Amino acid sequence: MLLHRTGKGGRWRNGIALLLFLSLAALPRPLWSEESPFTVRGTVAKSQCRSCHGWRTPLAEQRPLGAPHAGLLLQHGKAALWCLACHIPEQPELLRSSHGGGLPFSAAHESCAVCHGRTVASWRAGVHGKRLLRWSGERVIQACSGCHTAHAPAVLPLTPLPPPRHPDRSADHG
Amino acid sequence: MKRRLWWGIWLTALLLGLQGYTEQWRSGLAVTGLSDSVLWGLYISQFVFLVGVAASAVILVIPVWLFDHPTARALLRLAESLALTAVVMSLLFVTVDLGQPARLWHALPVVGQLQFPQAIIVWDLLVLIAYLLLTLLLWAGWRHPAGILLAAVLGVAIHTVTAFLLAGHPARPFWHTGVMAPRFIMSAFASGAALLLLLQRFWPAGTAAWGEIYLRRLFLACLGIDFFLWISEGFVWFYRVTADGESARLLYGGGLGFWSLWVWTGIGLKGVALWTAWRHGRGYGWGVLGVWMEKGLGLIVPGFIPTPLGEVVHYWPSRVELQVTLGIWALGLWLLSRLLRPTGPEHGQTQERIPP
Amino acid sequence: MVDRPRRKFLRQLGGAALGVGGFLAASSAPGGQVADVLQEMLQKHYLRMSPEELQESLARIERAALREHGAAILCSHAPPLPGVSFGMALNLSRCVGARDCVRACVQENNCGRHDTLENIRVLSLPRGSWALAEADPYYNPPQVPEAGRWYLPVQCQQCDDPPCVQNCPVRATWKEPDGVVVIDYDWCIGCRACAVACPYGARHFNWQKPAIPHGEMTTETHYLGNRPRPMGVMEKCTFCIQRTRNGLQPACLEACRTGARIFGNLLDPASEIRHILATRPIYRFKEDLGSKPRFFYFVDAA
Repeated sequence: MLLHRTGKGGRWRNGIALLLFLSLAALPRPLWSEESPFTVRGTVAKSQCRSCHGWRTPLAEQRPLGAPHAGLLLQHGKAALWCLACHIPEQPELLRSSHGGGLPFSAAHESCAVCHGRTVASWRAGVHGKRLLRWSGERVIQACSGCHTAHAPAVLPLTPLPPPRHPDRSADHG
Repeated sequence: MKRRLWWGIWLTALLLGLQGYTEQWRSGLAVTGLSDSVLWGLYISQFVFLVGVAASAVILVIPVWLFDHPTARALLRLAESLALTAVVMSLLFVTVDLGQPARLWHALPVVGQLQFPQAIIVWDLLVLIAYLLLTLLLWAGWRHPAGILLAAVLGVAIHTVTAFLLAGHPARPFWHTGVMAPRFIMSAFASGAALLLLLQRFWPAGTAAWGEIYLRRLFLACLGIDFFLWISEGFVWFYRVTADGESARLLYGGGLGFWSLWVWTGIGLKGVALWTAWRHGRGYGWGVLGVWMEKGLGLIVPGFIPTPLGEVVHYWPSRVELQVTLGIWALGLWLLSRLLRPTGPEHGQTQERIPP
Repeated sequence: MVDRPRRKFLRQLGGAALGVGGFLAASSAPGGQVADVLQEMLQKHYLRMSPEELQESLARIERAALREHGAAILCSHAPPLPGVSFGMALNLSRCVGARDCVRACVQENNCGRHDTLENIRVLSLPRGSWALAEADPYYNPPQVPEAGRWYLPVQCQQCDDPPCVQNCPVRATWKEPDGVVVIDYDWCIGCRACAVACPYGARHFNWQKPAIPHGEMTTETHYLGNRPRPMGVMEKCTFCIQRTRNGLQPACLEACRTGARIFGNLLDPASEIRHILATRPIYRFKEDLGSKPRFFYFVDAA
C-alpha cells in the first residue's frame, strides 16, 4: 500500500522503493528461509494425534490433561502454553509457523522460532545446539527435539560422571 | 675400625641409591611423590642447590689467586674439587629426574634436537657441560689465568641460567621474579664460602688464615645481601594481596604445613649463621643447611602450590626419592674425597701452611 | 699436563660410567622385543624421519600395541589439512559440569586409566567469581548444575605462543600448521619442563605405564595423537587429531550433552566458530600471560 501512495514526487519514491525491493532479493538468504543450508538430524516423534483428532476437533480451552492424554506432560512456557499454541487443530500433523502456514515436523524448528526467534537464529548459525559428525563438509545439526522434549522443553539436571582422582598420590605409593 | 664403619655406611647409602633407582627405572616415576601438580621435587631441588655450590666454589677463590697469595693454590684446589663434584652431582640429579633417561642423547648437540636458544634448559645443560669440562681441566692442572677467569664467568652463568629456568614461568608466579638470579648468586656464594671453610677443617691440607678471613667476609656479605633481597621480594608478595602472591602467603603463612615449617627453619638457620659468623666466626654449617633447605625444597615445592588452576596440593618425597638422593650424595662424597686426595707434584704445596 | 694418578682416576671414572650405562640399557623393558625397543630408542625425531623410517615406526607402534595391549590398532600420520587452522569455543552458559567430555576424551585418546590422567578438567566455581582459589575440580553432587555454581572446563588451549613448546629442551613438542600443539611421544625425554611452563595445567605425565582395560582401546590412532604412549612421557589434548584431521568432530564435543562446545576451522569465514568470534564477546583464559590461546570461552547473549 505504501508503495502506491500518490503525490508530488511519488514516481521517484516508487522507483527507489522498487530498487530497494529488488536489492532485497539480491541479499543473502534471510534467516526465515524455508530451505536450509544444513541437514537436521534428530528424533521427531510421530504424531499420534490423528487417531482421534482426525475426526474429532480438539477443545480449544486450556484444561488439566486427563485420559486419554494422561501420559502427556505439557510443561511449556512455564505451563502457560496449550496444545494449540503450536499445533493446528485441523491438521494435527502440521505445526504453526510465524506466517500462519503449516509446517511439517521435520521443520519443527521454524515453529519453535515463532517464540524463540533468537535461539533458533543462533541454532542456525551453529552457536546453540550441536553440529554432528563432521566439522567440515555437509552440515548436519541436531534438531531442537534432540535435546528438548517439545512438550516439556526445559533441560533437566544431569548426573555428573565421577570426579578426577586427587593428585596427591603420596598415599598411593606409601 | 672407624674407617671400616664409614665405608660400611657409605656402601649402604650407595646400594640403597642403586636399588631405588632400579625400582624407579622399572616402574617409572610413579614411585616418586611427584604428580601432575608438583612436577619437580627432591631431585630438582638438589640440582638447584648443587649448581649453586658448583658456581660459587671457583669464583670465590679467584681474588685470592689473582693477588697471588701463597694460600691460593691450596684453596683453589679445594674449590675446583668441590665445583667438579657439585656439577657432576647436579647432572646426576637431572638425569634421575627424567622419565626417559635412555633418550638422554636427544639432548646432545648434533645427534639430538636442541631447542636453542629458546629453551633455558638447553642453556643450562650447555653451560653446565662447559663448566664441567673446564673444572676438569683446572683440576687436572691446567691453571691458565684465562681458564680461571672463564670458570668465574661460567660459574655465574650456570647459576643465573638455573635461576632463569625457574623465573621464566609466568605460570608459576612464586618463581616469576627478577630477584631470583641475584638471590641465587648471593646464597650460592654464601654457601660456597661456608662449604670451603668447613672443608678446610676436614682437609687440613687447605687451611690458611688469610683464606679463612676472606671467606668469612664473603659469607657475611653475601648472606646479608641475600636477606635484603628476600625482604624486597617479600614486600612485593605481601604489601598487596594478589593472586600471584598466593604461593608466598601459603608458604610463609603456614598454609603448606611441613614445608612452611621447613622454609622458616631454613631462614632461621641462615639468620643464626649470619649472627654467629659475624660475632664468633663459626656456625657456617648452619648457613649451608639453611641455604640447602630454603633454596632447595623450600623453593621448588611452593612454586607448584597452588597449581595453575588454583588447587592446593601436597608433595612428600617418597622412599625411592630419598634412597636415590642418598645414593647420589654418597657418590658425591666419594668423588670429592678422591679429587682431594693429594697426588703428584703439587702434594708438597698443598701441605704448605701460612702462619697466622 | 695431566699427571699420571689423575689420568688413571679419570680412566677408572670413564669405565664406571660405561658400566652403569650398560646396566641401564640391559635392564630396560623386560619382555619387549629387543629390536623394537632398540628401534624406539634410536628412532629419529618425527619431523626428521624419512617416509620409510616413519612407516617402520608406525608398524612398530602397531606391533607393540598388539603385544602389550592385545589391541590391533591402525596408526596413521595424517598430515595437517591445507588451509585449516583449528580452534574451539566453549559456551559457559551451556556447560553444566556433567563431565561427559572428560570420559569421552579418556576413552577416545587411550589415556592411562589408573592415573589422574584426564586431559580435560572441569572446575566448579561459585557464581560471581573467577577466583581460581575457590575452584573445585572434585565436585560430585547427585545432580548438576548445582545452585550457585558455574563450570569451567579447562584443557589444552592450543596456544599460538605456547610456553610449553618454548620450554622443551629437545623440541619433542611443537605447533603443527593446523594450530595443534603435539608431542612426539618417542622423542620426549620426560623432563616435564613443558608442564611446568603451562599456565593451564593442561599437560599430563605418564608416571607409570598407561593401563588400558582390555577391549577399550580406540583402534583408529594417530602417531601424534591417541596411539598408546610409553611410560615416562608427557601427553595432552590434541583436539583429537586422529578424528579432526579426518573431518570428524572431537570426542569431547560429540559427547557433550548440552552442546557447549563448538569446533572448526578458524580460516573459514563461514564456520560456526568464526561466527562466534564475530558476534559474541569472548574470553581467553589467562590471556595476560601472553600465551595467545585458540580456545575461546563465551556466554549466550542476553
